[in-house]
Amino acid sequence: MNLSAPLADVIPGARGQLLTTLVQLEAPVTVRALARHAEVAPQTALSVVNDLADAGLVFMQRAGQAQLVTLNRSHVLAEPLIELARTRARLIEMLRSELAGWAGLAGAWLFGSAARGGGDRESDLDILLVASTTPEAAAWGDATGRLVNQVQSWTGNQAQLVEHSRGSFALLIRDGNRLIAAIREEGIPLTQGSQSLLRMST
Amino acid sequence: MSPRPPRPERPRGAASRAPATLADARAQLRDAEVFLDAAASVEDPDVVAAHAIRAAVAAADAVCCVALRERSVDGSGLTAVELLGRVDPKLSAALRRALDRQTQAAYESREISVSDARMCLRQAEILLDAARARVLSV
Repeated sequence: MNLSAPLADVIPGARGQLLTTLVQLEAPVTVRALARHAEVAPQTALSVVNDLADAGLVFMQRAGQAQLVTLNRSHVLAEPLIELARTRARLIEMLRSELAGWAGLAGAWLFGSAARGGGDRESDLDILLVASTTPEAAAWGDATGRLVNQVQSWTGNQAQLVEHSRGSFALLIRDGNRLIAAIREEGIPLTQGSQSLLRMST
Repeated sequence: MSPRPPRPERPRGAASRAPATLADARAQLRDAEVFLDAAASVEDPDVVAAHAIRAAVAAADAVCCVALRERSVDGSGLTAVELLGRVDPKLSAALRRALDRQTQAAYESREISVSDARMCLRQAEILLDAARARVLSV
């Protein structure tokens, strides 16, 4: 899956980029501004927007010289598009739901390009797991194996797991490890207690 | 009657809003989370409210970065209220409620009460939820 633009896997090219941006924008914008935000050529944007307006998916209104556009959120296709555009949030919810059932998990974060909103089909999903005691137990091994398979099945991307015990995690914090800096800067907590774990270990 | 506190001023010609990117949205969300964390970790109602209001403004900016690709830069929160009103009037009202407590406390030269501080925290949480929902999708 293209982690930075999941909708592009379903609707490739300028149309997908424009629809993604239209879903995100919650106030009318000029076609030129829409093109800039979607990183599409203005002429291409105008052509796609006209076509989407013909389909009733986009409202167009004149404001002086400019043409303002906005997504028609009551269109029957709007809701599926909004759901597609929030694929990344849904993936995070799925990870949280999976990890909520894990015994012996003290904390977990998504980090790396997927957490920064970047990444593509080749990118790994970097996940930091902190075990309450030691990540050596057989049940832990089964759970991590299942997680790797699930991520592959959900996204087509590989999961790259970084595993620590509470103790080794505390040492990383004490030593000012780069991983901790990355987690603080960009990490998305995947369990309830993750952020407090980051605080308590300091 | 207490003297009127000075209105927050902007240097002449300074912009109150600026273009924003999705990276700005993530940074604002991160700031909002840090401020809310700080608000939850102290007891003095004045300090709780101050952190909560900063969290609320940062979360509002995160929402606007995604939804408008614009954010407030005047630091007073008033532009954030106005911008947020274009996205969702309920969120704008939540931010205004939090900012009003700060203004009220300043005008009446009194400390913020525990219930005022809790109210600011609640508004910040509402705004943070809205910001998370948008930023995690992009």
